[in-house]
Amino acid sequence: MVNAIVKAMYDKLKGNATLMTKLGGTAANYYKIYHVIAPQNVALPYITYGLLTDIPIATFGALDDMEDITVYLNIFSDSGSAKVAGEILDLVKAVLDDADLTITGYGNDMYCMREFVGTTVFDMEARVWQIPMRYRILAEKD
Amino acid sequence: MAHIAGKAGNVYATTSGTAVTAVVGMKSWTLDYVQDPLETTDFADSGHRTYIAGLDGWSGSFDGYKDGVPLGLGSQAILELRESATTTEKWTGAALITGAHPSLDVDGVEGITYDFQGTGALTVPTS
Repeated sequence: MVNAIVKAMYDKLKGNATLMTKLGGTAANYYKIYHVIAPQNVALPYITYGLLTDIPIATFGALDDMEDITVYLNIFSDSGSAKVAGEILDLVKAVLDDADLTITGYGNDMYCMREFVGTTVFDMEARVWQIPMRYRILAEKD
Repeated sequence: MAHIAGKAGNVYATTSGTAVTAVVGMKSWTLDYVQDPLETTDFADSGHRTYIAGLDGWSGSFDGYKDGVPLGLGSQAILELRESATTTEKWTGAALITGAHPSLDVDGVEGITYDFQGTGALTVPTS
């Protein structure tokens, strides 16, 4: 069921036309948003994401009545500066900050909250910029 | 004799009729079932305090997440504090809802705590 929450976030990202244009994302390249690891030789820029933590919230009605999960995202670009990665960051924030997610099996998406944006990293050998970020999503079952 | 896991507990209540329903969103309850000790110490007790039983009473609270219309204050409810799904493992009686304490953080789920005051006898678990 947690997978449904992460998928809802993925669907939200790939459904944004501006972000897709910036990434060059299409169905053929899986919208340039990859679970955990990108395929070999895929062109930059792209985004990777994955589940970080999942904490069930129990009531007497159900031991997993709500799910409190954190999801990480990493934005990668290879331009001469961090400009492109930063522009993608702004687009992701615009899409996901306080987003209304449609989650299968969870009627009440309480919030999708950005927890932080981490330090921009530059890989000297690969000449790749990376910006890490993390979201927290709270959802209640139907 | 067996230990009881809290996961199958619950709080049931009704303010009308006899059919109790679950108070949705609850995750814990606390009950204080007490009896007043009446002191009867006299010179014949060789320096030791002695007591007899006085009135008993019960009160407590239950809390969880707010889900729907909250219980109203001052209403007399039939309250069932269930330890498990076993029908003999519950504390039952009439009680007044004397307090409702909602709380909310910007990054959390709205919680609510109810206080109750038992009125009349409390039926205790039989197992």
